[in-house]
Amino acid sequence: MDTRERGWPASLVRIAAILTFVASWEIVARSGMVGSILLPPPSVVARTGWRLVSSQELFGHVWSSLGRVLVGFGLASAVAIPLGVVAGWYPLVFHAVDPLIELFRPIPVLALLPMAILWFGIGETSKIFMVTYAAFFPVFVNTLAGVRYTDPTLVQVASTLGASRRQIFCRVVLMSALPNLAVGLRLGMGFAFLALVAAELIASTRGLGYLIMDSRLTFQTDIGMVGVVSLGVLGYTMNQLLVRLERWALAWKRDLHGTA
Amino acid sequence: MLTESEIVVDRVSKTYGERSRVPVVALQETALAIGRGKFVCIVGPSGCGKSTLLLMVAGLIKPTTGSIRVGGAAVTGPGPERGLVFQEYGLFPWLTVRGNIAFGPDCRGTLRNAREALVEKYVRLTGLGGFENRYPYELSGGMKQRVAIARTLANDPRVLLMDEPFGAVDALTRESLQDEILRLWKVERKTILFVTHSMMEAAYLADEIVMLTARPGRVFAQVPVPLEHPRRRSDPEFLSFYGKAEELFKEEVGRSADGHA
Repeated sequence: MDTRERGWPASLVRIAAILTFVASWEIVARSGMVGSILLPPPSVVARTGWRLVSSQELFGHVWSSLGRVLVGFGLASAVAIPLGVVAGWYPLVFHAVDPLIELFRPIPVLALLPMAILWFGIGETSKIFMVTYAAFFPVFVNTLAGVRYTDPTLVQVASTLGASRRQIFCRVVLMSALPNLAVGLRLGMGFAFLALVAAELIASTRGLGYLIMDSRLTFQTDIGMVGVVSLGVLGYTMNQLLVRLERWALAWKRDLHGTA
Repeated sequence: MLTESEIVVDRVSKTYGERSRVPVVALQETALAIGRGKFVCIVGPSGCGKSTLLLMVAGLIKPTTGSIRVGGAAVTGPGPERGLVFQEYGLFPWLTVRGNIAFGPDCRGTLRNAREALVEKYVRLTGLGGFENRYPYELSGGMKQRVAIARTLANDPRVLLMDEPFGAVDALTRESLQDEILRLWKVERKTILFVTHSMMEAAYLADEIVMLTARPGRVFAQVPVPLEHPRRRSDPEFLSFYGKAEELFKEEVGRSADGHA
């Protein structure tokens, strides 16, 4: 790690920024400028959060949401990665798949929500469908690009070193597609959360999206805030897991700042 | 004569975009015979088709007409008996120095111990000791090119094809790499076909210099270098040969010589 990037002044600034934000929120919420029902101060949100945690109520919602994201994201990756690899490697498959992908990709996933509810009801299936659909495109498009834009010089090098076509595919093309795949997975995770919450807001009886929507109906803004913060923590954690995976898989790559 | 030549280029030409409305002739019909164990430099201005010729010997580009034989066998595609070293190194960034050098033997199923021994040998020969576990991004240009050369030699090719291999490094590094390749050539006794745009480099390295004109490329001279190794760039005999070679080259290449250094 680069000390100029990760040393104590940097950490201090990071912590100070968060503290300043929380303090400002507390002051604004307590000043009476905004009604405390509309904007509860962070101290109240924290207390409510603790209550929901100790009563185990929050976990049920977290598990439902997390489960949907993991299943949907997993399904999306399981289809998008192999399909992206094959379409990147075989031009004919690319030409078969590309028009369909480009037809569906511009449709914002939220536009499909009413249909998803009609098709799959308000149970798990419609949520998982939304998450899978949303996560599919970024993973697919990035995997395909990674394979398709493998440095041709490296392929030539491998072939002059005696690598078979299969070896070129496994040892050169797949390896050089990894950085793009990592980007695709992280984007896909972001899209997955977006679709998840939308689906949970509209028709659900469990999950963080439901918790937020339900608290709005009863004016319990503090509970809604706990739901929002939980989503933030959940999304952050998932992203960090992917970042860890990426750092481990791409230890050979240097970023702009010289850190791997 | 033809039977004992390691590389035979038989009436080879290359035209790009043959079926398009504006076909580009990259290389006019060329014939070359290169003896076993020779160090031959191909010199020509930018765009003379010298890299095209080299890549055709490597099997990465198909000639439009003619045929190429290496070690008596017709070239139909790339193969490990013809090792190619690129100007831009072409190292696999996800493999360490060790992994890069072991790539060829690994692909051909060399057993682990033999592979390790090969890596060991070529790490030592190319002066890469202590860098075995580094990734390419941690190396200087000169070190990268050493890895690329070691990787090619670890495959034990009959011929070593080098495409302006020292074109991307600074002048000092270039001179030390030139001495290195001469040393490796003596140890390994490979036939080397070396493309450069520098007559100085060719005069320093080669047994024979093949000169090409600018586009469309055409071989106009195959000049033996009457100097023993090791050569010294300040030696009067060396300078006199270099001067004559440069003169011959400039005369023929004429106006289009602005591309060479």
